[in-house]
Parts: sequence; structure tokens; C-alpha cells
Amino acid sequence: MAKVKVNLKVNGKEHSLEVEAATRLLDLLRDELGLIGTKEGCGKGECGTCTVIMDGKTVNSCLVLAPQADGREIMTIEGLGSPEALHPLQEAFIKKGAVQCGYCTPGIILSAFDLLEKNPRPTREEIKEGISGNLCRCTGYVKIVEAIEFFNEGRGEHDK
Amino acid sequence: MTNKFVGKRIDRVDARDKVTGKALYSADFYQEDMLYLKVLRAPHPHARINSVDVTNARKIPGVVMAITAKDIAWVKNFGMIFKDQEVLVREKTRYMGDALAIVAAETPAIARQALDYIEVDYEPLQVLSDPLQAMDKKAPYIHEPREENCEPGYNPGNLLCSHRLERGDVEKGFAEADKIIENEIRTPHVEHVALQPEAGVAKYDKDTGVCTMWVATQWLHDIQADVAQALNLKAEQVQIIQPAIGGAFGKREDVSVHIIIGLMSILTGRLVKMEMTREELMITQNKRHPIIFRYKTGVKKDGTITAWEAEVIGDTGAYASTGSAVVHQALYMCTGPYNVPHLKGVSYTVYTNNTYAGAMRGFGATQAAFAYETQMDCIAAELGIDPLEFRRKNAYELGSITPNGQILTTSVGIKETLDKAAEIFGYEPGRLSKEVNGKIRGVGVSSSMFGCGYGEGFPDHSIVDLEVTREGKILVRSAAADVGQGILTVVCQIVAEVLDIPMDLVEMAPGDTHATRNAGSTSATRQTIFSGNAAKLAAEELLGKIYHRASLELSKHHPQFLVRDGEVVLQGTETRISLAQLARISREKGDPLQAEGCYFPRTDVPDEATGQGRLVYVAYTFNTHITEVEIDKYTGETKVLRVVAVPDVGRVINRVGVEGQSEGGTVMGLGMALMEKQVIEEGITKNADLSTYLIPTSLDMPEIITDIVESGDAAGPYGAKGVGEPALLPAAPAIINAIYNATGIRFYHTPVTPDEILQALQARASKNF
Repeated sequence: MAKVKVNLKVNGKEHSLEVEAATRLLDLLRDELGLIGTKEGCGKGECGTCTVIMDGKTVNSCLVLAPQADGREIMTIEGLGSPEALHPLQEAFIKKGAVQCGYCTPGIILSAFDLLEKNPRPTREEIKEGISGNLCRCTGYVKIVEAIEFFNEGRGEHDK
Repeated sequence: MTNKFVGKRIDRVDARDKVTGKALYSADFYQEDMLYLKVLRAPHPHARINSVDVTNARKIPGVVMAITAKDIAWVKNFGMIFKDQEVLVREKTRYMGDALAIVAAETPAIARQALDYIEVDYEPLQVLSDPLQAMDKKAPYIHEPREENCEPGYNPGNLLCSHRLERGDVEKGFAEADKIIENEIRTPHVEHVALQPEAGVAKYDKDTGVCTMWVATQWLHDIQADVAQALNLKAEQVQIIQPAIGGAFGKREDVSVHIIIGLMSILTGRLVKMEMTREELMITQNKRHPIIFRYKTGVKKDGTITAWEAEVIGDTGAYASTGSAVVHQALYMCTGPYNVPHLKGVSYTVYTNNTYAGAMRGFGATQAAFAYETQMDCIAAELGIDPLEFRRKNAYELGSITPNGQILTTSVGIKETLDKAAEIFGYEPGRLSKEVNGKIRGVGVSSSMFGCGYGEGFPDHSIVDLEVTREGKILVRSAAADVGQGILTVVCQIVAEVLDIPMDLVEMAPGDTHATRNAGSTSATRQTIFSGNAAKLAAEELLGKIYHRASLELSKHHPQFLVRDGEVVLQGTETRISLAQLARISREKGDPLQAEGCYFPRTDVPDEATGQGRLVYVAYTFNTHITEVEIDKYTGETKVLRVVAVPDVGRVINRVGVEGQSEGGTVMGLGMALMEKQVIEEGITKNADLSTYLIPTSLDMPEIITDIVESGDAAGPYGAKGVGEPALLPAAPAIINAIYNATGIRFYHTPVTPDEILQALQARASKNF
């Protein structure tokens, strides 16, 4: 299969790669760049576990071909924070018990992050809408929504 | 003394890795030079296989190996209870998930492509998709007939087993009744939808003869045993290392990729990786058993139950898996947490050509809860008694007798759960439905019971090993699988509590068949009781050893010491010695600070003819839901507005964990009630993806209030019992009962979809017209 050159920025770092044209962005991130925080749950854009942010918009990385990401800027969960330096949103997920098996967690955190970038004061209904593309089978979503609210309250305190 | 950790809201010990994407799941193990595996599945649900030809597949560049059953004649069958499943089928397929060939290739794409070049010659056989049809003597055999187990009059190739329950005299009970209520209630195939698809990596070391695999399982040592026997290895030649587990819900009790990756690592001598697609795993891997319940219940006018008869028929699909246990559990729980003086029942576990069914959260008790809570609601309506009051009148108390004849002597909080739920909800007896703007609201009640642990005399234990490390930390070795429910946090909390040490000084070793000892499975709502007790016993022994060593070193008596925050303090003095120091001294003296705890309680095997026993389960968890729904008259859509959930968990260990189970179980039950059914027609799944098999999203989530009853005297650590499965049990029936309360229309199955509600509403409207 023909190889294609793809230049993209991932978590602030430039990468230049040669990949097969049919390579999915998901595979590029995991197999080529070792960013295994992006998970595959269905491969069909149904579950949202492979969510990443591309040019400020959440996408299912299983539905994006690598050449479509050429010249784009990608953010994965690894770009948000690390175990040593958590982003406050990640901290809120831990504090509120929003994590169980954790497989959907990176995707949901990125959907929440993207929502809050665009709508810094979402209502509970807007939060539910904002993460509705990400399936979670463990938590019933209750503590996930609470964690996002909790993070936002903390941020509100900061603003004062 | 108040607890520092037990009963509190404790952060998960693995959360930091999970929120940052650092946690490694099965598919996250990468290495250079891996081979990728793909499996050719059945072309037809029930077919005689004449030949499987892999000649052309082998010619494709990049294909390293392609094998069929003929190449692995030495490999044995597998299965959790009955070894009835072939790794590669030899003569015939029994369902669409049967494997016919395995390809190993340099890339996943080549392996996938190679499957198209495999030629299968087969003759279709009659497909049996209905268990009632399969039970019939005239039906063709799916498996070789096993006369010894078969009831006369039934199909010896398709009836896997039957179980019986009998106490008192049902005929007498029915004679005493004022009313007899009979119903047939059905549940469908349900899929777990753990978000992480089945995957695994394996390598074989020729020199040591050990096959090491990184693959999720709910029970390391049981899967190890099954893989070993299938591949003619000794157990110690199969090492399974537990990665992070992306959900389970019973799905990962069964073998999925394990034997295939082990086999191919041995045959190819290379590191192999296999990942199932969502579609493949939905068709191939276990389902929740569809069960038919035929109930006959006798009641007096005042609401006293006099007799209950049950016939339970479970479709276990093409293979047994845990089916014999699941279906008889549905029978053993068939009357729920209600006093029944005269009881009789029988259950049948039946093979069909459907995807095989096995464990799924609740293990037969979920289906039973839907059935008995439907039946209870029907009876209450028939008698004109408020549904909550009717349950309260018949609910267990201390001294009540379970269907298995066990007299309850501890931790029976069912009435408190009903009372508390009613109070929090603001429940009004005799409340009628309200209609506002074409939307009808209704309220439903449901309770449930669940026996924790395997029970029934099945060997059931967990071992936890502890050690004080050179750094003075406590290293915990447990094989308990944390599937997301949080058992590892619970174990660490208990160790921290006993040793009065901060949580961050407690470390978990990864689950590994070669480094951790048998903890039993993460199933049967047993880990908090079993591994929790083992952790407590181990920590108490370790504490004794610490005191002992300190008294030798400091020449003082035990009561003068206090162990706190990683130090042994001589009370009232400045003298102290750190655990790190004490561990070093102990090690030098040849008596390291190590301890083990093993919890292995006894239960009784119920009598085969009657199902009666004395101590059948170590504990029972109860749970009550009161649920409000709103139904759109014009679309038939049901929205669940509010759920008050009150489980009786004995004692809370991690409050966040109990709430998380309750909320997750509630929403899983919402899916069961309103959406979820794997449609299998003539053995073929019609909705093997997440666009056509729907589970709840955040937009479906109701307001959920969980309050907890702590009866405090159960068999687990600090009086705890489990909550994982019981959290789900009352959710679906409460919703269906609320739909009845709103509309007056009774549904005897799940899921109840908008089109069914609309049709029922229209049918009633035209009748009234």
C-alpha cells in the first residue's frame, strides 16, 4: 500500500511520519507515537473511547485517517497532565470518584476539557450533552458529571 | 474507636494512572516483532464441517502461520464447568462464534486479509434458536447425548442439566390461598459492553517452558488452570499477568483470547497479539442468559403469601460456560427476599445454537429479580394493596428462611431499605399517576436479594500476603481482579486501618499467577468479603509480628507499644523505631516481617432433590429502589427521572465505591429495562455493534440518590458484605413497575421499547373508544 507523508503536531510536539494511507489517526497515535492513553472501544465511532482533540474540536480518532490529520494539531490525554503533574480536571475525576475501570476516562476527560474551553460555565444539562458521545458502562455518569461541576466550581473560586 | 479509613471516601489507588492514560490494558502491550492473530469464525450457526482449507491463506506474503483443527489434534477442549468447547472446531459448528482457523501474520491487516482466502466446505444443519424447541426430544442434538444427566422426556443432547427446589407442601399452600396468580416472565440476551474489547499478548520461553501472557481475567488462577489443561501444560507453565481491566461484568470470567494466544506463541515461537473487534466479541463471547420464568403464587386477601411454584428455563446457547450455575441461581433466588412457607421449583439449562451465555452481573439473580418483582407487583395490584406495603408485609427479617432453607441469623436489612427508600423518596401509598402536557408520570418499587460468594459448598477462598519492605512500606500481594469496582483500594484501606498507616505507604503488587496467590474470582459479589477478610487477617498477623519484634528489640511488653504512621512508639516516651528499621532487623534475624491471611469459610451443598441446606451463602445483600418515570404519550418514550437506591451492605468500606456501584448498577438496569437486547434470530446476531445495540448515555442518566443501610453484622470485614451485583438487581423491575403505575399497562419482559408502549397505549385507547 502506498505510503503517505504526514506532518502533525501532537501535544505541542512536531512529528513527521510516513504511514500507509489507510492508517487511522488512532493507530498513528498508539502504534507510531506510543500514546496508548487513546483507547479503541469499537472502531466505528460509536463509543467515544478514542476521543482526541484536533484543532480545537473533539474527534473519534478511529474515524480520522492519518492523512486527514496532516498539518493539524492534536491533543491526547498525555497532553493534559501527567501522574506527577495532574491537570485540575484530572484531579477532580479522582476526588469525585469518577473513575472505575478507567477505559473511557481519557476520552471523557478530553470531551469535558473541550466543552469547558468553549463553554466555561456549562449547566448540568450542557455537561451531560457535552459528554454524551462517550459511553461509560461503570459509573452511570453521575460522578463524572459531578467531577466536571466540581472542577468548574474550583475554577470559579480561582477567578474571584 | 473510630475508623480512619474504613467507611470513608477514599481515592482509588489506581486512579492517577487511569486519568492520565498511563494505565496499561491488555491491548497496550507493544513490542517489536510481534505477530498479530485473527480467527476465522463459523459460516453458519449449526453446520457439519467437511473441510477447512488454509492453503491459499498460507501463500500470502506476511502470513507466518495458518492452522485448523487438524493441525492441533493434541489440544483439549475447555470450559469453566464442562469442557464442552473446542479451541478450533473439528466436526461441526454450534454457533456463529465457533473458531475454524487461526492466522498469524506480520501485521493485523495481513492477518485480516488472509481470512478471506480460507475455504470452508460445510453442510448446514437445523438451527435451534428457541430453548423450548431444543428441549423437545424430537430436536436434533447440538452436543453428544449425555443420558446420565438427562431428565426422562427431554432431549439428551440439548438439556445440559436440571435443578430442583422444594420446601413445605405447595398443594397445601395453594389450598389455603384466596387467590392464585400465574404469569410467564421473560428476559432476553444482554451484552455486557465492557468498554475494553478482549485482547491479549503472549510469549513462550522455550528454555523454561513457560508461556507468559498479559491478558485481563476475573480469575487469574482459574483461567490459568483452563489454559494449561487445554494446552497440555502444567499450571506453572502458564503465567498470567493481570493488566488494568477495562470493565468486566462477568464477561471476563470466560476464556476469550487466552488459549489462542498461548497456543500460537508456542507454535510460532514468537510474541503474539490478538485483539477482538467489538462485533467479533459480541457474537463470540458470553451473554446474559435469556430466562423464561413460569410462576404460580398463592396469596391470602390480607397479602400473606401461602405458596410459590416456579419453572425456570435458561438458554445457555452453544456451550455451557457457567450456565448450569447461572440458571439454578435464578431458581434458588426465585421468590426474592419474601417469606414463602410452601415452595416448589425446577430449572432447566438448555443448549441452543445461540451465542453461549455465561456470567453477567447478577448471575441469574438479575433475571430472577425482574421476574419476582414483576410477580410481586402483579399480586399487589390484584389484591389492591400498595406495592411497597405488600413487599414490607412479606419481607424477610431475622429468622426468615431463604428458598434454600437457610435460616437468616445476621444482617437482614431489607425492611430498613424499604423504609428508608420510602422516606427519602417521599413515597405516597396508593399514589395515582399524573399527566402533564401529554406526559404521564408513575412510580415503581422493587426490592431484591443476592447471596454473596459462591456458596453451596463450592470451595471459596482468598489469600492475601503482606510484607514490610525495606522502605518501611507495606507491600500487598493479592490476585483479586480489580475490574473497576475498586477491590484493590478496599484491600489497601483495610491494611492501612489495621496497621494505622497512611494509604500512600500501602502498595499493591500487580496480579500475577506466579507472584500472587489465589484470590478466587471477582464475581459473586465476593471480593470485599473474601479478599477483604483475608487482608484484615493478614494485617492483624503482621501487626502481631511487628509487636513481637519490637518487644524483642526494646525489651518492653506489647501493651506499651503503639503502631502508628509507619513507626512503633513506646508510649509515654521518646523511644520509637521505624517500620523500615524493624523490617531490616527482622530480615537480618531471618524472620522477615511477612504475614498471610486466608479466608475460607464453610458453606453447605444443598440437597440435590430439594435444594435445601443450612448455610448455603455466607451473606445476603438486599437492595430497594423507588423510581419515578415519565412517559411521553405521543412518542412512547420513557424517561427515568429519579431513582432512590438503598442497598443494605452490612458496613461501608469505601463510600465512594459503594455509591459508584449503586449508580453504575442503576444505569445498567435502566439499559436492561428500556433498551438492551441482543437480537439473535436463527442463531445470527442482528445488532452486533453499539449503533444498533444501545446502552445508556449521559443523556439517559436520571437523578440517583443512594443511601446506605449498614446492618453491621455481616460476614465480611467490619461487618461488610458485597454490593457489585446487588446494585443492579432492583433497577430494571422498578422501572417496569413504574411504567405500570403510570399507564396501567403491564409488561412481562425486558426491554420495553417506545414502540411497544405506543402500541399498547393505542390498543387501549381504541378499546376504550
